[in-house]
Amino acid sequence: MPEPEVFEALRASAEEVLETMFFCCLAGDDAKPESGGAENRAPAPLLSSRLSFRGAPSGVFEVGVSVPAARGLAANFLGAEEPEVSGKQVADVVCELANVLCGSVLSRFRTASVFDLSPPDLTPALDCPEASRCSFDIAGGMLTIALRFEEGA
Amino acid sequence: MPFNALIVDDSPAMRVFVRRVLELSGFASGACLEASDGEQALALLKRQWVDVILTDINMPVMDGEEFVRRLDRDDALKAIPVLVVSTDRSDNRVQRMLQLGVKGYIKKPFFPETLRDKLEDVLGATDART
Repeated sequence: MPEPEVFEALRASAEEVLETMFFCCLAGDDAKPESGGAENRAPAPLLSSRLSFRGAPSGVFEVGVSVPAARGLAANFLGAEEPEVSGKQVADVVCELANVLCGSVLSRFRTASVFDLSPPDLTPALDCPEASRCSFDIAGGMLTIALRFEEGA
Repeated sequence: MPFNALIVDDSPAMRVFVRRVLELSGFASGACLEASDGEQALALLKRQWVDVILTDINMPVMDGEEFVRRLDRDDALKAIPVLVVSTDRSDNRVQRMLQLGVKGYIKKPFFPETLRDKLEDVLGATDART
């Protein structure tokens, strides 16, 4: 899959998903594509979620959200004030964000056929080598999305 | 007349989101039941009648497709209208669920108004709103 096409899908999906269900928007038009990984970015506390998908194509999808931004997204999604939102709820919302983003991204590739998403898991860090990766400024911090297709996709 | 709803989704966050859309849409709220998979939902339906079911597809234990099949095989439950709320946007899946008799298929992400409009179609705009 050509990287520009993947980056555009990541950006468009981030914009769509945040606006419709998380009542938030990307801050500016400055997506930061990162080929090969985000290891060289300044480390920041992240809440990360990963899921895999099977079909044509198969692969791995990851989302990382800086902690303050994740709290804001969770409050918006749940219709609550930030101090009322528990750590577990924030984690649940990040997992749901990963789930919805993954479905949205895959639907943008014409070749994608029926796919099966695994339940999203919370992970200690973004750890998807050789993924196409894109970061976006959002209120409270940063959203990073990574997508890797399995070989042959 | 208050309407009872059943939300079936393995994501607790998503259940809260859907419940909130129901509340903000002005539907007369009776009981709003929640289940995390189809099997749990069927157990709840043995104890309480609902007027509408909103279900995800991709769930552990019993997925949404099997859940809808089970509803259709039960004479007491087959009349309950079902709306699917799912990440799966594939045409194959949508067509299969519609053939199984669901009343609507809402693809995530969606604006809350989309869910409200589908609920109005199913429940009847004048009867269901407070």
